[in-house]
Amino acid sequence: MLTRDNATPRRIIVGYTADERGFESLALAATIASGTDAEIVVTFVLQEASPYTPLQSGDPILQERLAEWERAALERVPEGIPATTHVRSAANRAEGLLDAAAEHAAELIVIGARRSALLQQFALGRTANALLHSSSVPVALAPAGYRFNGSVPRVTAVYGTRPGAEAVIGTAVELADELDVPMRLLSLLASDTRSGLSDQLIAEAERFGGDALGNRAGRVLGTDTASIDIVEGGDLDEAADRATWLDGELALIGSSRLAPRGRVFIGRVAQRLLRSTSAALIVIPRDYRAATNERTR
Amino acid sequence: MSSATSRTKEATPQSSDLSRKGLSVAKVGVIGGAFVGISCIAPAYTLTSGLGPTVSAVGLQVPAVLLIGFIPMLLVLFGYRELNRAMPDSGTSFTWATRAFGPWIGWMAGWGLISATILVLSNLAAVAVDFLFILTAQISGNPDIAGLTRVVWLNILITAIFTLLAAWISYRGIEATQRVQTGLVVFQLIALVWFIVAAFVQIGSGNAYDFEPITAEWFNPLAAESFGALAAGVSLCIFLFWGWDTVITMNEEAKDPKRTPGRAAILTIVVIMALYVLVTVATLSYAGIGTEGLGAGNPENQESIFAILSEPIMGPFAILMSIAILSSSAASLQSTMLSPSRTLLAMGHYGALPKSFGRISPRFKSPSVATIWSAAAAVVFYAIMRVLSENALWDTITALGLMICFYYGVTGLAAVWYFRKTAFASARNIVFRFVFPLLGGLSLLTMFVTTAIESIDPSYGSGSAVFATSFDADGVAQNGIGLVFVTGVGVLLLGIIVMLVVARRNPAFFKGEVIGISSAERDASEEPAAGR
Repeated sequence: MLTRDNATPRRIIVGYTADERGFESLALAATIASGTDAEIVVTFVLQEASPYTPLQSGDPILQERLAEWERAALERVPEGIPATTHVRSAANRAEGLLDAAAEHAAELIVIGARRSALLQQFALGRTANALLHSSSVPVALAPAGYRFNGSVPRVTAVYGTRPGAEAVIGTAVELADELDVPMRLLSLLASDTRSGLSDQLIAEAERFGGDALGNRAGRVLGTDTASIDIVEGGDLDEAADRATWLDGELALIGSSRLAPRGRVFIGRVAQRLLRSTSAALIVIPRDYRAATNERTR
Repeated sequence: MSSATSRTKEATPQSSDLSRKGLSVAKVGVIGGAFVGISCIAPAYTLTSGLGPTVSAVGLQVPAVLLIGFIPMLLVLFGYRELNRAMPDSGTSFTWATRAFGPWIGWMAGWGLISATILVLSNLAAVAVDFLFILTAQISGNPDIAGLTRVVWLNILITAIFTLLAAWISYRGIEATQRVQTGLVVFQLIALVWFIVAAFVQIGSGNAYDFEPITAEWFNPLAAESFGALAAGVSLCIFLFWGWDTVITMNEEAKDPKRTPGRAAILTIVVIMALYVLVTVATLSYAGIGTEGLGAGNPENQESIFAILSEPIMGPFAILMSIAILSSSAASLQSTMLSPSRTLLAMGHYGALPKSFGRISPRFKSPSVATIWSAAAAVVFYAIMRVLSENALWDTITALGLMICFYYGVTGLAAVWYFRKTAFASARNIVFRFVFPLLGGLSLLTMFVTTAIESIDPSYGSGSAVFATSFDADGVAQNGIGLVFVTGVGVLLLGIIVMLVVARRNPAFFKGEVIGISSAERDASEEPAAGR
C-alpha cells in the first residue's frame, strides 16, 4: 500500500453558489489552499425534498444545471490545487455546510460575506449567522470583490482581552508559519493602556496549545516577520476603522460570546472590520484547538 | 497531482453516487402527506370560490357532481403517476405530452397548464384580498371596509402586491415549516366544521334562511337538468380537487415512495370529500338555491359564498372563516406559484420558449425568470379581467375548469400513448397505463369541448360577455360572446399564436431535435427513461 506522509488530506469546505458570492469564496479558499496543500471541496447545498421546494433536488433540469455549475467551479480553481465537488441536501444551507464539514473532517468552511443590499448595515446573512453560531471549525468570510492572488501578504490576529484570544493567536501563528508569511498581532483598544502588552500576548499564546506552540509564538515574535499593532480610538468602531490592511490580508478574529437569543454571533469589532476592510475574515470558535493540536508535530 | 484526478472524476458528477448520498431525505408519511394534500387543495378557499359557480351550473345536484367529479381526475392521476415515475421532470404535462405526441401538442399542454395556474393565481390573490378587507371590517367593526374591495384600482393594487410577495417568497425558496402548514390545515378544518355544525344548528332550530329539505335527488347526477350542466359542474369539480396531484406525485420526500403517496392521496380525498359534501349540503339546506338574498343561487353570492353566508351562520365566529380563507389562499398562492414557474422553466430549458426562461437562481436553486413571468402574467390577467367584468372571480373559476380539463385530458392520453407498447404486459399495466388514463383523458376532453361550446352563450357563467350591446334587467348579456368562452378558449388560441411566433424563432424544439418522440419500451415502471 502506498503510504503518504499525510494520510487524511486536509480539506476546506467552500459554501459555493454559481454567482459572484460563490466565486469570491472559492477564490479565498484557493488562496488559502495554495499555501497549505489543503484540498478544496466545492459544496453545493440543495433544499431537502419537500412538496413545497421550487425544484426537487432530483429534478433532471436542476441536475443538469448543477453538473454545469460543478464543471465551471472546478475550472475556476487555479492549476495545482486539488479540488472536488460535493452536492448534498439539507434543511438549510448552514446545516448542509456543517454536515459537509463533519463528513469531510474539514478544517475550514469558506463562505461569501457579501451583504444583502437590503440589510446592508446590520445583517451578515442567514447562512453566515447560523454557521458562525454553531460551527466548531473556523469560518472564513470572503469579502465582496475578493480575487485569487496566489499568496497572502500577511496574517493578522485581531484580539482583545476576551477569553478566546489564545485560540485566535495560536491559529494565526500556525497559519502564518504554514503560509510562510509575516504575521501581525492587532489589538484594537478603546482606552490608552499599553504597558506589558507583548508579555501578555506571549502568555496568552502559551496558554493555547501547550508549550510547543508557545515556544513557536515566542520565536515568531522575536523575529522581524512579526509585528504588533495597537490601534486606539475613541471607541472600538473608530479603532477598527483606523487599522491599516494589506491587500488580500487574512484577519483572524475570535467569535464573540453568545449574544442574547443568539442574534449577533460575531462581535461588533468583527462586524465593523467586515465593513471597513478588504481583508478576509476568519472567525475562530472560542475553544478551537482540537484539530490544531493533532497537527502539531 | 490529485487535481487532475479529481477533475476527471468530477467531469461526470452524476456518477459519483457517494458524494450525492445526502440527496433524498425521506420524511413525509401518510398523515403528513394528507396534510400536504389538504393544504394544496386549500378547501376553505376552493369552496368559497368554487361552490357558487357549481351551484349555478347544476343547482341542487352539487353533492352528486362532487361525488362523480373527482373520478375523471383520479383516473388521469393514475396515468400522471406512471408518467412521473417513468420521466420525472419539472415540465410534467409539457414534457410528457411532447414525448408522446411531439412538440406541438406538448407545447399546448404546457400552455394549458401555465394558463390554468396563472388564472388560479390571480383568483387566489383576489380572494385573499377580499377576505383581507372582510377580516379588517370584522376586526374594526366597520362593515364599510369590506366594500373597499369593489374599488377597482385599490383592489388591483393590493392583489398585485400579494402576488408579487408570493412570487418573491417562492423564488427565495422559503418554505413555511411543516408545523406552520399543519397549523393552517387544522385551522381550516376547524373553521369549516364549525360552519357545518352552526348551519345544521340553525336549520334544526328553524332559523334557516330558506330551508331546503335534503333529499336523495341531491346525490343523483341524473337529476341534473342537462348533460351540459353536468359537464360544467364536473369541470368545476376539477377545480375543487385541484392540488390533489401534489400528493400522488410525491417521490423522494415520501417515507415509502411506493405506498405512502397512494395512501396519503386516499386519506386526502376522504377528508376533502366529507368536508365538501357536508359544507354543500349544509349550505344548500340552509340557504336554498333561490336567486334572492342569501340564496346560493343569487349571482351576487356566487363569487364568494362564505363572504355572504359565514356571518349569518356563524355569527361573531365568522371571523374564524375569514382568517382560514385569508391564510389558506395566501399559503396556496405561494405554493401554486411553483407550478407555472416549473413548467416555464422546463419549456425554456428545452428551447420551447426563449432560453432565459430556463434560468435557475444559483443561490436559491429556483426558477428565476420563470417566476417573475408567472407573477407578472397573473397580475396582468387579473387586472384585465377585473376591468372587463365585475364578476371576475366567478368567470375566472369557470374558465379555469375548462383549461384544467384540457391539459389534464391531454396528459391522460399522453400516458396511454407513451405506454402503448407495454400497456398489455400485465394486468396492472392494463389498468393503470391504459384503461384508467384513457377513460379519464377522454372524459375530461369531452367535458372541455362541451363546456367550451356552452360557454359561447353570453348568459353563461356570470352573464358577462364581450361585444355585448344589450342586457336584460339583471345585467345579463343578451348578445356577444360569453366571457368564459373568450377567457378559456381565447387564452388557448393566444397560445397557438405565441407558439407559432416561438416556433419561427426557436425552430429546434419544434423540429423535435430537443425532446424526441419516444415511448416506454420496457416494462419497468420503476426505471427512469433513458436520457433525452
